[in-house]
Amino acid sequence: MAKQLMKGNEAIGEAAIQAGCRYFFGYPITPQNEVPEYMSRRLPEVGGVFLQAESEVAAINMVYGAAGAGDRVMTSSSSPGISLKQEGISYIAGSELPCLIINIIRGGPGLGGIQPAQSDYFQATKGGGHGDYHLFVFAPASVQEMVDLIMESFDIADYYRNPVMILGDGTLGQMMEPVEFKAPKKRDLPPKDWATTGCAGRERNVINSLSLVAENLEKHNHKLQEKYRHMKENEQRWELYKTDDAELVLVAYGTTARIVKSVVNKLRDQGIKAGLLRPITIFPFPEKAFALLPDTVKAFLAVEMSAGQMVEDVRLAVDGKCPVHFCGRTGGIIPAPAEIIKVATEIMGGERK
Amino acid sequence: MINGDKLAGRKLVIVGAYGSGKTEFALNLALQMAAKGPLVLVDLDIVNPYFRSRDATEILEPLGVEVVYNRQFRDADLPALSARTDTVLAGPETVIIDVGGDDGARVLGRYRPRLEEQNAEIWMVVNCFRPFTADPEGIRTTAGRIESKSGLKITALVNNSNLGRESIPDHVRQGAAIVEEAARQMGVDVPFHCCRPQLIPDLPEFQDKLFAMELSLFPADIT
Repeated sequence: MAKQLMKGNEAIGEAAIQAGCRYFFGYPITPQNEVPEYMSRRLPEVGGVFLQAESEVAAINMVYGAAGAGDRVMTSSSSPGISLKQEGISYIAGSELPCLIINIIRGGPGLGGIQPAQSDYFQATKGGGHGDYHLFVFAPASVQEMVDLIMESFDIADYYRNPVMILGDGTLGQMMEPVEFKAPKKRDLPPKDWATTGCAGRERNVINSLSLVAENLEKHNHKLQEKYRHMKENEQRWELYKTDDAELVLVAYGTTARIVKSVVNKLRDQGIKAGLLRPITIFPFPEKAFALLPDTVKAFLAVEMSAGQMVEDVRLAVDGKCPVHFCGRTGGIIPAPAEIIKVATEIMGGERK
Repeated sequence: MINGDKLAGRKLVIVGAYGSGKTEFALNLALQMAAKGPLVLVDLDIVNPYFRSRDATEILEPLGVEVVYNRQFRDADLPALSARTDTVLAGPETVIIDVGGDDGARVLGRYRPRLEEQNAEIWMVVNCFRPFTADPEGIRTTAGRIESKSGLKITALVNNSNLGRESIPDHVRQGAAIVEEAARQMGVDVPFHCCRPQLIPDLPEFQDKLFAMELSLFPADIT
């Protein structure tokens, strides 16, 4: 397939289809409406099923059902809709079912606005719903990267038997960039011998998250925690940009990281040795990247479209070795390079030349 | 470049598939025609709140272009229409109307009697590198959907085939062949072939049909 110019939201749909997703259940909400729009047009062409549910709660439970039957399934929403889905997501994580959940974040809290934000970081990475669980979370910064990560996400979900989330913001969902679709690196995937595919000739499989015997439930929790440890050990991903001699490392993910990249270059023009650490997985958070930074680093600056969420993971990773500063905008406002440069320059004690 | 006199006083409706470049074409058209008499740009996109004509208000209004949209909630996705639209459609001004993608053309039904009375031009912008409009058949299917939603007949196709920042002159040529074939089948003209300004020297064969897209809505801060 040749390169196409696609909107982030459309590319999400096509990438999922190319990765073998044949079921989509969702409910419309700005700014991700092109995802269901695209799926409703494309899924019937490939023999799949698109269904607009009566609510987000219904949609996520349909995902639970299709995933339990062993099929590749996706849902998509934006912040308030993802909040509604949390109960079902916890059930899916508890039942260890693979699926893909898209959150194209809009400004909150509450109904908030419809402009881009990154204020659902806590919800995405720390569990979101009830119980001790984690989603596997990718935070792409371009439409092409989002496509590549989605195509891989279905394999990761199957490999770990765990829901995967793509965390994007309204800008990424709406921006148009050239994309191509390439098959991801192969993983050895276990057979889905747990799926409810009809039990003729075998013991029946049960998909359930209820476990009333405390000892059994704790054992299940230990198994889940072991899985998350495995993810932390094997799946951390990040990009380092101009950090080799950096004194100030800016940390940013998604759309914000692209703005910060231009900030790094402008700071270097001013004589400030800045670099960028861009998390690509945000659960597992790329702690290992911090160990790779040179001794020249004097401070960190986390930049987010939130009141300061990822910055807490940055502090945990830095572990008190350097000061960690924060710069962010909320409400759907994208931070401008000038304001980030101002904060960075102050941290470094003013311009160097 | 644009022959402003030919379009003076006309009502020109820009339609197309999602992301075909309707808004950028409408903005650039407004930019080029700004100096040639009273001009109004009506933002009728009520289906998607991102990347709309109204986002360029601060650029266009100093040039004397009036931008019409719901002023109270500029960023909202409310299906609210400005009463000013009816006034300018009945008046002597040159009016460019930027419509929402695909089924967003439904809103035109409300203005259909006036647009027919004014003999409005309905131009459909096409990018062959977008999903669903890669060939003449896809273009005609999309055109048919827009015509049935709006109740209006498309009068021209605009070739805006590009791959964003990765655009090369051949993208314009490949698109031109496909769009011209679709236009032939539909019995309409292709008045313009759009390109990024830096590609102009490489596309002499299009002569005065070449249309430079100077103004881009892609956020400048995002590299």
